Amino acid sequence: MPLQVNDAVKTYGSEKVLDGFNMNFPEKGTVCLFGPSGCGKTTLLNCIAGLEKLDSGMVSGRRGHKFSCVFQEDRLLPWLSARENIAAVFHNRKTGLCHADEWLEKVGLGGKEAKRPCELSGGMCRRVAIARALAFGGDVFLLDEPFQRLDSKTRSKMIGLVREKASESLCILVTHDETERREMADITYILEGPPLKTIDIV
Amino acid sequence: MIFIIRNKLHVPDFAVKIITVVFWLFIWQAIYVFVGQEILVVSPACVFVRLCHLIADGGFWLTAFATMGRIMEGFIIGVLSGLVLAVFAARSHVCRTLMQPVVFIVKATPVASFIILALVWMHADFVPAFSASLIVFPIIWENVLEGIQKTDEKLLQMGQMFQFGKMKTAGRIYVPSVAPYFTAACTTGLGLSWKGGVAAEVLSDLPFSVGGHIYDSKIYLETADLFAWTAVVIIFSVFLEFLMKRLMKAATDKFSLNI
Repeated sequence: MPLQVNDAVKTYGSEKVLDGFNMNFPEKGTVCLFGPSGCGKTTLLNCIAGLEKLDSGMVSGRRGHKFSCVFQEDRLLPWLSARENIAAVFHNRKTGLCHADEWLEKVGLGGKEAKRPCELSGGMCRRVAIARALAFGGDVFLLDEPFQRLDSKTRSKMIGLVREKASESLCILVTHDETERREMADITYILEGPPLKTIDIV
Repeated sequence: MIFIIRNKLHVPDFAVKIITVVFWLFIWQAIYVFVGQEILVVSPACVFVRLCHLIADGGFWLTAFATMGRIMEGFIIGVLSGLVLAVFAARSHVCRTLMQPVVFIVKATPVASFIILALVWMHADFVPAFSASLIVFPIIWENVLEGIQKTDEKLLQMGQMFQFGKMKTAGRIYVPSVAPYFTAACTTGLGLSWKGGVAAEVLSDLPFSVGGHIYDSKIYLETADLFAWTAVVIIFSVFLEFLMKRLMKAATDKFSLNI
């Protein structure tokens, strides 16, 4: 069953971020939520992921899907190494460590396995966060400005990796970067807000 | 614009520690010379000699370890009860509200009141452990609760997204987040439990107790003994604090990686 957002309402204090918002997603492909900062894209993504509860309305079609996410912030565990951060998302630690080494190599961080987040640059932490999401895998990838703080060459490489891994999945990409949108999106919802509303579909 | 860069004098940590000890021993000696009455202040050398005599005495280790046993018993009870009830309080608003007045009363009540009440309620043997546990409990409860409440919500969301489950969330996120609060509380609590425990021993006049010897030295005006037994308390307290910090660091690292 495809993901659908129906009549979603979400309020923070006196501000309505979502006010009767609706959106339908395909089974696979990359859907880009494109709009300015602060318009409510991340709130929508969190509600889709089930990390935040809607005041009313619903997100249907979530059951049976495995979600993976690159958060807007890296959200790495500061007390664990890059390798352990990726391995943490696996049930079996040994398997996790093998996958972690493999993914760190893929994102160009071979040799940095033992480094903790505070010993890595912002771009490196971002790559660990991307590697963690891709290593975890899933049917639905939620990517919240995933390529921020990356130089253009690394960004292209990361886009390639995401496209390869998520080719048979649904990717919901939140961005306000036109290049990322052009390179990745199959469908783009141009949004503005708050409250969030779709002003165009490309 | 002219920048002046001063080369800072680098003194090794070990040397700084030695200098600190020598400095305070010098101050102590100066006070001793200034006061000039052994009944009020004894010299560091005199305390050291008395301490050596005490250690050579057959009953010293029995007394010291009996006191340590009572205090550690109370400390462990205080830590465990504080830890468990803090977890309950973090999970339930009702539990937190119920606990708050108890913690406030335990914190505000003078230690002497607890000790005297305990002497009425129970056998004197249990009073030092009881007093130590009551001193430690509110410190652990408050700090652990604060640590749990201040755990980064975004990391918890990350754990939820990547299906960490309860055990892994506890081991990978909560334990390392709470560990600094818990360690700080244990360090403070350990020092205070020695104070409370020895005070309880003084008032209970227990046999084979450091507190009992301190009480005797007051009765017989043996100031050198008083200083020497106090030094024993300080040495044991510092040693246990050092040991506890090392053990807790190792335990936290191992626990958070093995979940």
